[in-house]
Amino acid sequence: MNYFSPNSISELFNLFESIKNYTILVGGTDLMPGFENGTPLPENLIDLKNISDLSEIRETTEEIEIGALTTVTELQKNLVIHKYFNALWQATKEFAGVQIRNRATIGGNICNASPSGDLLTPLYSFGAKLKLIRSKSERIVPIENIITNPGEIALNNGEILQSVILPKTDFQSLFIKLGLRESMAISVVNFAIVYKKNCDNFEHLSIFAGAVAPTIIRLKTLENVLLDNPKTDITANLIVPDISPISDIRASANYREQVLVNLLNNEVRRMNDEQ
Amino acid sequence: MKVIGKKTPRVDGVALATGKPVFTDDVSVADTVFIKILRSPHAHAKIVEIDKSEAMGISGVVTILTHEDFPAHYYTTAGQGYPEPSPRDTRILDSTVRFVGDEVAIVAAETNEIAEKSIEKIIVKYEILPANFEMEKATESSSLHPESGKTGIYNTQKNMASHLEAEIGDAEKAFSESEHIFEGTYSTPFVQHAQIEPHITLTWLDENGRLNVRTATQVPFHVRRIVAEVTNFPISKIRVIKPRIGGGFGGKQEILTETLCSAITLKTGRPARLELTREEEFYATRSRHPQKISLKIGLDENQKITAMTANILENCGAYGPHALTVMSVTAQKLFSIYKMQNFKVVGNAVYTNLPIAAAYRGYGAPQAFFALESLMDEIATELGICPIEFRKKNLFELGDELPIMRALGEGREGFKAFVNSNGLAECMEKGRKLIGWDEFQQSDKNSPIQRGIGVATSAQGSGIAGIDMASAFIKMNEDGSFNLLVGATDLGTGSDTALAQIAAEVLCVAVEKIIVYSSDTDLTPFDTGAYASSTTYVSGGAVKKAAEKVIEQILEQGQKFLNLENVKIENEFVIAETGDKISFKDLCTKSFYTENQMQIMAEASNMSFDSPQPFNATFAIVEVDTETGFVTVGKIVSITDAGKIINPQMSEGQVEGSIPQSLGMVLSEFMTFDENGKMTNTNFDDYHIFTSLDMPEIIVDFVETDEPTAPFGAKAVAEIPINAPAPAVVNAIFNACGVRIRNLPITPEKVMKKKI
Repeated sequence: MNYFSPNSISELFNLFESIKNYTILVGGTDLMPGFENGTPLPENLIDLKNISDLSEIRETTEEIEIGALTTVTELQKNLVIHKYFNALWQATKEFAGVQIRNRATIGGNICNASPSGDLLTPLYSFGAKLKLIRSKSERIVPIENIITNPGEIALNNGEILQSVILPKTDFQSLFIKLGLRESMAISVVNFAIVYKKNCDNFEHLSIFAGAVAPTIIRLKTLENVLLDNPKTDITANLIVPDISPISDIRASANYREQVLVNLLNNEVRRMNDEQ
Repeated sequence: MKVIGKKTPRVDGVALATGKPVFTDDVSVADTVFIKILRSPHAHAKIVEIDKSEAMGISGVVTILTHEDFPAHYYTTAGQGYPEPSPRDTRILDSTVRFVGDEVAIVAAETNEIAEKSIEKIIVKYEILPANFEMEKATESSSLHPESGKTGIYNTQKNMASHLEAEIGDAEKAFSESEHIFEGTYSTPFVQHAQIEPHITLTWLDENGRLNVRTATQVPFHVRRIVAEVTNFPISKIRVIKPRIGGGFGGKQEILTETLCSAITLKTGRPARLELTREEEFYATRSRHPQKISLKIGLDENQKITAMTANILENCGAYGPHALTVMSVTAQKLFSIYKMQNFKVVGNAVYTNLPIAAAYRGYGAPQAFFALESLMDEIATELGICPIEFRKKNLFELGDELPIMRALGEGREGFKAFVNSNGLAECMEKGRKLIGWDEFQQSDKNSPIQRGIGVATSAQGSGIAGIDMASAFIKMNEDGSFNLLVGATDLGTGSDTALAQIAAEVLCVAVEKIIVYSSDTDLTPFDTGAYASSTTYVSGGAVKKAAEKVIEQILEQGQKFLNLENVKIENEFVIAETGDKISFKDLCTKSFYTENQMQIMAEASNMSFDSPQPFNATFAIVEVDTETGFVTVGKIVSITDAGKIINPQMSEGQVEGSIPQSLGMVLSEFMTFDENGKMTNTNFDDYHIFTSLDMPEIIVDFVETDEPTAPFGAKAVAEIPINAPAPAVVNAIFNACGVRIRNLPITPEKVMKKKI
């Protein structure tokens, strides 16, 4: 295995000229344990740690742009995220444990494309867009167009995730995670709700859930019902059309469905009670 | 007392805390070969052929050993008394594999990486055999150990590794005359020790051709005996050294890496190192025996227990180390707290094609008390009586005989045992106050979070009656210090410190004057090892005896040097009534060089036909989230009667450390397997031990009693606190939300299922 650590984006793109098969390393919190557990080593490993341009958080009046190499700890400490993107901020607090948060990056969490990735449900709910760059072009794409399957992302060869763009709004938001212990636990279910209330109704509502389908999914049926009547008692039939949970070592599909219903009910009730 | 019961820093504390090279792996020997193990991918198979030619061809591979390199000699990996009560059903490398992870071949190479690469290139042809993963079906499944030459298996054809029965009085008759009868069946899963340091061994031949074994073990003398037997190398040519240990909890009471590492050194003449990976620790070392315990209790009109029967089914996994003795402790402990005239217990330990269970802190008692203390709580609820009062009403009293101990020893007939100290009732009262039992308020019934409170009690032993033996040797130095040499094994427990305290107390010196050296088969006298909560009680007794002999010699020398009869010891001086005195320093210097020359020294051995019981009462407060089934433990109060406390800080540490292990067993820890018997959660991502964030508030306290058979009245504290937290939580969950779960672990999913 060859190891590279380019010092700038231009050096990285030069490297892409000469090598075609590579794996990108950022925080390494998924990749390194994977290698330990028998994932074959790639032909070329490109470590982005020296590209400081990729770890900046930029704020404009309309949006915030988060560099792909921003660590979860840095996200957690960022006041803009705390102010505008509460669900994302909550997710950073529930993310793994302190040591992992110090290493793991937002870009890594996206590109690892886990169905239960804790940062993903908030990002989807806020309508995150990803800025993807190649040596001579860039594109900005909604996150759901890039994450296609567990562990699969639609990035082209020679293309990297530069940053995540979140539009600033006056929406409120929340993130809920059920893991089987208080830290260092993979989500059994998680979800994020981004909303705005107008009197008793929702003016805006977006609900995304994790660990209940191959990718993060939107609970569209539920959203529509709640937009019509925010006091609706949430039952399984309102989420079943959108989810496809599996049974694994952590929980059964049934349990995931059941607690998702309970936890959603709980949160929506609380949202309804808010003045 | 000046030292016993006083705050005493650990004798090895500074070295450990400052990162000195104290562990097995902190020493390296030049020219070492590294060992990796090829393990079976099948749960049950015959090895038809092993082709190691390609693997041997890799540059840097030194040797590969398989079953073909060893005679068909059967032994047990259990490091326990000899002859071992465990079946001799194990070969160092076998031609049949019996679980996914069983050892097939070992490779020694110049580096770990080469060894890893090489094991992938060994081609093994297997003939797959039928496998069984359910202990309930073991007796009807095909035999795992049909080979002749295996001994000590209770019933080979029926896969019964061990069997026990004990009976006192007439339980059936008593049931027929009982006012109430209650029954329940309780089961526990495979759980792991999860000690920080994996099993690791370093072996080399010294300049005299003697085999040196530096190893992370709880049982250095058993290691020496078993390595000698398995490698057919004389005991006189083996030296086993135990450095500091990063946790054992019973997992290092097994001889696992030592035999393989020694075989490689003896074959190649080169130093060898074998360290298991965390994954191997999970599926290829040892775990706690799953048990299914059916209990039936009869009560009279005064809620006194008249009779109890117990049926134990124990899952050994593929081999039977500790199969009988763990089950014996389960059986003993079921009948060791509550007094009754009639009881019967039957136990069967069976083989399955799963990873091997063996010794794990508590050694059968956690399973027993989960079952017994759950049922006691169910009875109290059913009869509408206070669970504390119900228990107190049925306790053994001082002077009572414990009939089970006579009926059932550890693997053989037992010895008469009496209750000489029992602080359990006081433990319950103290805990009741500290947890706020009488003031406790349940949550509003409509609240999604339901709070509950629970209690459980337990007992353990202090060493194995009539079997464990320990010895100590003490010599005096001319500066007034003493070398204390003990076979006892400090595996992080702090026993070196506790034994130094005992020596210091008798010798009337500060602990700093005691230089402890332990667990080296060349230099320290014999000790059965660190297990069964034996070190303070059994080894401590040996240290006390040896120190008393040394004191006698000091007094005698003092009398001679002072030329006076009536002398006593004070502040490291021998002082006569006249005021004439001689310091320890001068006394020893004179003894060495000038007058009545001798080395002041003594040795002593100790064993006991008693195994006095420490007791514990644990209280738990839990919160159950009724929307997710998630249980949060809010508070644990653990009160222990461990006799006289030798070292308060270390004793507290023992209790605090046991609580996450017990909470893990009840709520989050369990080994999972796929349909082929392969363990699926072989890392700490998926195997959930408690993290610091999961830990509740803990209050630890002691009720001190004076055990007459013990050194300074001290009973054991090592295992006792691990038993009761689990049933206390089970009972608190029931109290919180009315969900009674009899098969561990209590996952959120199980709570939700029961609620509907």
